[in-house]
Amino acid sequence: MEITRTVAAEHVALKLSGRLDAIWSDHVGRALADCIRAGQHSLTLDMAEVSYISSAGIGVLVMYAKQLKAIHGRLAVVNASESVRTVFRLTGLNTFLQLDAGPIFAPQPVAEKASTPFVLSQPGTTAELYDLDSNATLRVDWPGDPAAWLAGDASPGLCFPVEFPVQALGLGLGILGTGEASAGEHLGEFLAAAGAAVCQPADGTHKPDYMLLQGSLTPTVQVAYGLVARGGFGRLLRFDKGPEQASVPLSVVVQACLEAAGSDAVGLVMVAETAALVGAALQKAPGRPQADHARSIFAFPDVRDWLSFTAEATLANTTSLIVGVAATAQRSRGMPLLRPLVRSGELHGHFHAAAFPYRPLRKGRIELAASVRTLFESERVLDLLHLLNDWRPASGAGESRFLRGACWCAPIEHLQEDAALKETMAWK
Amino acid sequence: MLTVRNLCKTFHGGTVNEVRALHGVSLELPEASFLVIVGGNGSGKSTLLNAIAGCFRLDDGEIHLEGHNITRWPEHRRARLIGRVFQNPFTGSAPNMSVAENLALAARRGLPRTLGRALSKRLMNELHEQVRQLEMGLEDRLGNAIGSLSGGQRQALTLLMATWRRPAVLLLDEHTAALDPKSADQVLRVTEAIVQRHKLTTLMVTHSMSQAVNLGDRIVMMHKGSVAYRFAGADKQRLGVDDLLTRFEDLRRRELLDETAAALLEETYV
Repeated sequence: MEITRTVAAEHVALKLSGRLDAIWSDHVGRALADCIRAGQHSLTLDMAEVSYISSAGIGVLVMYAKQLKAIHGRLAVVNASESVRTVFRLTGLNTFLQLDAGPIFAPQPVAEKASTPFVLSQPGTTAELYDLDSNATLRVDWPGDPAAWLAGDASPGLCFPVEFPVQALGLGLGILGTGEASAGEHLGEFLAAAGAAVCQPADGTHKPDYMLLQGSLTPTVQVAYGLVARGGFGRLLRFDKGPEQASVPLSVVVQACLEAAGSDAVGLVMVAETAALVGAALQKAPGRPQADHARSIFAFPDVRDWLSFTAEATLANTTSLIVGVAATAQRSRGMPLLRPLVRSGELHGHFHAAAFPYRPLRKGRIELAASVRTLFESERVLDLLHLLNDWRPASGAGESRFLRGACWCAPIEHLQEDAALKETMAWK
Repeated sequence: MLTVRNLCKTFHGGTVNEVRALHGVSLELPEASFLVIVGGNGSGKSTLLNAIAGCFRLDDGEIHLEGHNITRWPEHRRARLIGRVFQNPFTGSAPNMSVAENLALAARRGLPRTLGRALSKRLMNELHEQVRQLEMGLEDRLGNAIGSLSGGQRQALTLLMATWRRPAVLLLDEHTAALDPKSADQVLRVTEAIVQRHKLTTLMVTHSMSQAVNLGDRIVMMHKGSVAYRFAGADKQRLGVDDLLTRFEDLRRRELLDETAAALLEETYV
């Protein structure tokens, strides 16, 4: 079987010739997957020279047609040979595979409204902005004291139960559920957004657990420390690496979100097709207060027991859910938990990412809760990382990078004064 | 019961080629337990087996087997208590002797040498029965030279020889690594059957994660001469191949986390 690929402006045409049987269907499946990963959601298959198609071949076509349909793309068969035409007619798949629809170009845009082109700082990258609610803002609280937990002298029982309905986002160190969390033994890094919470217990197993909003069950996290934001999202930023670039770094997307939100501090939730994640995860729960109060989890070589640091790009070809808060250097001074995102220190933030098996994202304006829910359909969360920028010269892995994605963001409300902030830090 | 305490061994100490092959390894294996040892190249898996077998003098540590402190026993004395199978199917049996003769040698291992008939009728019957239980069709080829058999068949017979006298501990050093997949499966099946039938205390070294997950009742993952992870009981049962690979990746990440990375984490983590 031979596959010839032609890329047109709005769609990709694959011309198949030979027998589409069990042996070759995997090969065709991979070719289709490559196209989708490259961001092409409108595909045509020229099957004029396909002499035979087996059920294995039909299976692959139907699978990708379904996947594309779910993201408002399409897979259409054109110029089918007589034998293929017969098989499709007998199986009743003519309509589903859009046989006889003729060559199809331009994807049918879903009545997009109010999208404005947007310029990212990386040349070649494309982006557009959707206005959701121009008044939306996020109010952030910082429950818990990270320094005390990491130093091992946090009082037991000092976890705050926080509910995460659709309008809340959060990240930090915690434990899922409402049970007893006082001992802190099962604590781990978590993120929560759009009615979903993911937590990876810090026991070295790399098995993230999750809880979804279902009926009247709202995900609850016992938060040791972290940040919790409530409110709504004002803007949706869609970005794509474009044909020339290999990927878009996290800091570029975050900078764009700051600009899009028109603020010096922003809270965001992102769903993105991921090229690489770089970060760390706590390996060992901080646990009960230690006798040695002077402990530092960053001291070498003990840090190796405490943190698993990727030190190189991982989780390529995944789709990830990223939650975080970012601010300019100046604004970040009043905000706990924010750390430099770039070496120059101009941008500060704190981001956690949960990685899922790869799943393409629909283009255009999409809905947050539905997009997040789709990620959990595979019922597998591969890993959860606290994203870091490994900017070390020579050996550094750089920062997390994405192919394309959707970012829901909103400005973070200015707190009246520092006293108010201190009050929220002593969150009860 | 096999107890290994704080085993230490450095090869070529004080030279540029110094290798800390074992660095404080401790294990406790109850009777009839089956331990699978995994780890990267040079992690000390085989050295640990060799230390138990007595191939070299330890720098430090103690080995107790069935109530004996065998730490200072020479290799040949330990051989009465220990059965071994190696990676290479050509070791462990005499190629020019027949299958029956090889097995007879194993049957008389550790016993006083006498002038009696090596292959008595009774022994031949027993050999036949044991070989038949391998289910490899070798019971009809007892007279053939063992060198004429395939690697898988030879390895299965070596295993039978090593366990004939019911050793106190059985050491398997990647004994299926040199076999094709089908033969490896066959030898593993035989291994499992023999170990279960005689309730042998077993240590098996392997590079195959699926073998580690599917065989035995406990796993030890070694790294740089030390035990990095131990899994037993329910932890071992829920362990999948992916979990073991994740642990491997973690060990690699540990190495990559150097002082510069630690400084970066301190600055940017929390």
